[in-house]
Amino acid sequence: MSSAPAAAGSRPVLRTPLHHWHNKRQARFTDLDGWQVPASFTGVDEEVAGTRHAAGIADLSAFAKLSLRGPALAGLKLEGKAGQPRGVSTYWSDGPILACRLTPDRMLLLASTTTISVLEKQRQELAPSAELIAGDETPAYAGFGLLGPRIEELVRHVSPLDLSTLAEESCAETRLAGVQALLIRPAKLPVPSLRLYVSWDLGEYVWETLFERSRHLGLIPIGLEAWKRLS
Amino acid sequence: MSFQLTCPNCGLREVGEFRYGGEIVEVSLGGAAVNSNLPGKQVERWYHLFGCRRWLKVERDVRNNQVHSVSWLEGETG
Repeated sequence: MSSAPAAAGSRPVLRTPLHHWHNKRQARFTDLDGWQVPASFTGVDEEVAGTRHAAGIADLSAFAKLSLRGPALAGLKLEGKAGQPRGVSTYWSDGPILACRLTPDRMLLLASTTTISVLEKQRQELAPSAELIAGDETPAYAGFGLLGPRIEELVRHVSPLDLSTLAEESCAETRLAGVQALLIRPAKLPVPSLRLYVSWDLGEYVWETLFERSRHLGLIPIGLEAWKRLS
Repeated sequence: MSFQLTCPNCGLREVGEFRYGGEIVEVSLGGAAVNSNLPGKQVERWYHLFGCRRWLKVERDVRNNQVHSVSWLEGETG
């Protein structure tokens, strides 16, 4: 019995929980550090126009996520909204980094790239000497970027949380489509926006439920190129 | 049953986000529970399952679901 030798320099292909869904809709994929992410579905211009008119959703699951936990976090004096309960601050390092204060002793850092090192660097800047438990949560959460003027209406169909009570630069853990979800309102963007995070294995279910319950709202899938242009 | 609880971390949320964790009863010297399962105010444990995943201590009137106070359950930190 012989086995095939591993190809020199080979690396695993990483896929988001929505990969098959994207593939079925003939998304054009791009490679981000080994991650296969949808760059576009129907064309960037069309996706941007559809989002500005109604609502668009992008699969951001591949972007790095780092959790910080520990009582020392509660004692840190952080600048901006992340210093307050459920507050969200935006830092900049190779793109925007969202720092979400979930509870006094629990924080989630979210990158706009697939490299976890930018978050580790940010963690060092925020709390250089604090004893915190840091964990790479990238494969734990599926992440979606919702954009467009109809996203509040859309969320109303799947969650009891009144999105109008969720201020900019704040976040909330709540029930959405029957499962626990984290909703984040980043700082003001040219179009209304929301980040949504659910457990990785529930990603496909939540994504499909959003489309199912909002057929009349004109929700469209958008690729990373349209998402970047809009945000 | 429909009412709202104000989680000290997450704010005002509908009760469906929480799981009931039972009444906190006083126990007499003889070991019997007192003030248990009576109409009126009672102190209960509630778990914020779909939110911050912490235990709360809630004082609620079971006759009309009026919530009188919500705080962290002992051992949970604010």
